[in-house]
Amino acid sequence: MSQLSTSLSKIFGIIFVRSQDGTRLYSKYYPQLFAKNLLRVPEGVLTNIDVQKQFEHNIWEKGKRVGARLTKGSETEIFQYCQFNIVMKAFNEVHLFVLGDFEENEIILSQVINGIYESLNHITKEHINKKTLLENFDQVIIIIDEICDQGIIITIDPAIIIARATMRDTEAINLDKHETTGSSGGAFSSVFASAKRTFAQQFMGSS
Amino acid sequence: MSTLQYVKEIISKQISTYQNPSGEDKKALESEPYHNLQKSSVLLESRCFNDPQLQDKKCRQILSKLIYLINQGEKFNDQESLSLFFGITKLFSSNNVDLRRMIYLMIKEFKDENSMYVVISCLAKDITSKNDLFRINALRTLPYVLDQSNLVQLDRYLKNAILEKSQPISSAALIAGLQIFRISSDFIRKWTNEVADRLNSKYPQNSFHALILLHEIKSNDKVTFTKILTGLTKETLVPIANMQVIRFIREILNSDELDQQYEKVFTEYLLRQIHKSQEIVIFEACKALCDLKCLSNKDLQPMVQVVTLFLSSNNVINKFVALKILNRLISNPIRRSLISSSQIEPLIQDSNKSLSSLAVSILLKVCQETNIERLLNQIFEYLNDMSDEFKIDVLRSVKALAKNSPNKWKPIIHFLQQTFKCEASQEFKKYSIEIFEFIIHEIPEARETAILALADYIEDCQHSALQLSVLSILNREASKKQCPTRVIRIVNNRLHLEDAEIRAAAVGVLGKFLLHYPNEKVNLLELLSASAQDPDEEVRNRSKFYVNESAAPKEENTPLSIEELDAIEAYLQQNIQEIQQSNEEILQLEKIMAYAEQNKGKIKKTEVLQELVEEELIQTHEAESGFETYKKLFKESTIFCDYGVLRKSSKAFNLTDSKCEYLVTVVKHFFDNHIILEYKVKNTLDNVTLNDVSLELTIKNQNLQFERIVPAKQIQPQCVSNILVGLQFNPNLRLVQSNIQSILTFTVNENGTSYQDEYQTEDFMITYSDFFLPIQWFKKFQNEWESLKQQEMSATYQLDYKNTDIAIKELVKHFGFQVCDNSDQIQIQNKFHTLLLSGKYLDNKNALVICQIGFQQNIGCVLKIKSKSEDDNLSTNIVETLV
Repeated sequence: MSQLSTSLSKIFGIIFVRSQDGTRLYSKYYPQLFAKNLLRVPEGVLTNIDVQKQFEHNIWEKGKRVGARLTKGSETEIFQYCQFNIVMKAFNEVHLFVLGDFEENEIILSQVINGIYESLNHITKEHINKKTLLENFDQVIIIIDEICDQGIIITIDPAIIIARATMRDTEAINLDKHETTGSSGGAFSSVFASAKRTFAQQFMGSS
Repeated sequence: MSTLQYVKEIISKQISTYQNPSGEDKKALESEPYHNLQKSSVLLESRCFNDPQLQDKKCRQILSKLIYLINQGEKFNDQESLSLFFGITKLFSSNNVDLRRMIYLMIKEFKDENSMYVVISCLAKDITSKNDLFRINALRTLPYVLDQSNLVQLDRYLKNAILEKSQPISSAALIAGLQIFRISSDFIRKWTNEVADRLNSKYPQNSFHALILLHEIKSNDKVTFTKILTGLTKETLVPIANMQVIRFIREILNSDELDQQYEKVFTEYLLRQIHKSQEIVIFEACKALCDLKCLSNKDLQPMVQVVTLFLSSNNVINKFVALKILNRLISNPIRRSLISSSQIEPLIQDSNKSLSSLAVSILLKVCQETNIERLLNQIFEYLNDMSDEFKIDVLRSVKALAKNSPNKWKPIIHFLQQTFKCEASQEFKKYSIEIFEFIIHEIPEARETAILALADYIEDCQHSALQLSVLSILNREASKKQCPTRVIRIVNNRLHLEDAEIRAAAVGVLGKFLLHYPNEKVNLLELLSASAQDPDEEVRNRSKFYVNESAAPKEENTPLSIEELDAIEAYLQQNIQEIQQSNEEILQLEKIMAYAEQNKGKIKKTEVLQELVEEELIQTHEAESGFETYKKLFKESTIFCDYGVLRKSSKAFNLTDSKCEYLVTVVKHFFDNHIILEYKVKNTLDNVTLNDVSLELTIKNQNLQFERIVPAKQIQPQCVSNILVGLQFNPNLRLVQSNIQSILTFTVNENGTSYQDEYQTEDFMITYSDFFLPIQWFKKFQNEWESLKQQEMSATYQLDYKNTDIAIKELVKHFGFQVCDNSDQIQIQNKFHTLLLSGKYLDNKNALVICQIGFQQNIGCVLKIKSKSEDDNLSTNIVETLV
């Protein structure tokens, strides 16, 4: 197995933990693209699942300290733990973290976590919490799989993510009317258009 | 399944939820949909995969339960995974899209190498499916099940998919290519044309995926990739691809060798990117610019402006990245003047702790000496709100501050004293004590105040471990001169209040005072005799020991401490000539002790050690080149004896490739007015003899003249022979620099036939630095400079260096001198930088150089150089080398 270049933009992991105790709900790591030494953390080596769980627990603790005031899912906090840049969101009973290495572009990380957030918001009908996430577990894991493959970002546009996760279309669909079959037009394919839409939803829609 | 097995599983489940102690938490867990999911029961459910009539929705739910279990760390044994895998292949018979999506995911999660081949045919079928979503997913799943053997069959499908009009399919194929690249890079390298074709794709992610795969394909061919990147700098790219281009440019710029022309193109490109509208691009460009040493502060000003704007953003991530970039920028001290602290100060109070921590550490790095006090007060206000981890971070920066601005010790000590009062971990306070220790050792003026502050601290310190470490510092300091005697009273208080261990330590401190401070003797004897009645044996023994010790008649030759020995050694080295000349008693103890007193804390053992190491290096250097042997040889040689004594020989270096037919190396030997070039020629051919081997030299400097040559008569196959060339340089000059071009001329004798031939070797330089040995033979530059009575030569130049950093490096390289007094470390407070250099000219004349490097607008780098040496001509020459 040959090693890929370190300067590729990539995600190291996506972690969901329970807010009450920092235990794992669902975690995906993509260590294959990273140098071996990056996998070494104070808790051990991240290929071991027990080490991963302890690592997640410690990230959750540090995250709580750094961003204690995080309340709304639309807000993101950022911090560093070991050799990782980490962005964080807190929902009802769930903390979500997206990890990149120390050099990773922080904006990309925040765009990824926002992509996850907006997609989850869509499938839970704006009620992201531990219960809705577990009830829709099949959709959650497919959404994560549509955002990134082995750490390489596929897309961050929720309209595309949802279209593909629901096997409806390969291109973006209109999320506002998701009951109807999606159009294959690329009107919303731009990330910015989608972000605008989400903001509009937040301001005008249910709070 | 047996009951026993079932019970075991239940127990192991219970153990795995050990992190939920309270009842409430347990309740929260129990209400979870997947709570208490059992592997055995899910496996049982999965038998329905074999049903002739598949229930799509149910099957999808079972698969997602299985993925949940795998993710929680559940393992399947061989039999379980085999039957499960065959079950999954059965699911392909359903055409339900939702179920199919989950099957793809399951295959990726379920890593069982033994049975992977089973699904390849199913995936291969989906790759050619009419449903684009099937094709995308099959492409992305394929790398998980592929191995070298079946790659070839799928090559055509993958290549076609890359060229597919549909961007998602093309992207899926590119991503698959990236994964396969790790298995078999040679295979993917054949796709270059197809991948390059997608670089200009107008779809958002497609060009990004093509770009990263192309980068991997061209990882062995930097030249081509650099050209591709240059092309891309002219294109309008989607933000993520734009960001990736910048990262690749940064990688290339930071690599060792890059054509200057590209460096310019890329640097200018980066400077343009900071005015883009997307943060993702701006920040990546700023990060790349931070690392570039070739840019002047003026070049970076626009970037700093852009970054500073983000500091007042509402978005925490923008603020964080902006701070991170500034922090990275100022890790290079010459960049510190670019940042004004007023813009960063408000961020100390940010609610995100990692942000405020970054802000503080930047402020402590850039703060002006005049602001230190205010800044420390400001930081202290927020210290209590900070996490322990971060508090220690702050202390680290404070320590660096004490190092860089030693004359600001007053506010620093005040700050540290306050840290003792705030609520914090023991570790934090221990670190405060460590900084005190640092100040006591490194800042002589602050020593007394620092000792007293520490002593005061034990008055109300709660932790006995901390008290003990303070007492051990006081113990050490009490055995030196000028320790404030107020400490005695404070330490004495410990004897009445604390436990035995601390009392014993306190007695130790008092004992040291007793031995070293005769004025306090009466008082101390009284205190210690009280301790002789202490209930603890250790305390009693110690106090008795010190009382007895002080009563013993003081010997004339009290053993000297290491510091005193160092001082004597330093004194002797410094004044060795004076002592030798004078007729006085050699050991004038008073003088030595006065010297030791003066230079307290400045004389360090390390310096002596360093010198020893240096001496050793010189010796080994000489041994390597057989310098002594050469010296003797040349002296006795009839041809070169008129050149005088050999002063210095360079190392041998190659003038040819190791693969050449003739291997040539050269050694430069230096004499007072001559240079001998010793060429060693090796004939590596088996059946060729070289006759009359000589050299034609082209010397590019008028002041260096060819004088004589000793050619080699014959070089047999596989033999080595020497050719010696004598050069003379202008007797008025001490230093000369020139390029030397040499062409080997010889007659080749091959199987009886012979012909003339020549062979040009690589050029080499005789440089100014060849004349000097980088060595520091003294303790302190200033003293040595003043003690040299010869005339000081000086000149001022305007040079092309872009910044101080580069100027220092180039100057050191130019002269080949030793840097003295750490003067290559840039101090930001000074308007100009002073670089101190020393060296020995041809091993017998000491030479010193002072370079003052400054920058002026419009003019650029201005250098004032001063030189002194044992030979005025040499000093003049040194100064003139920069013309």
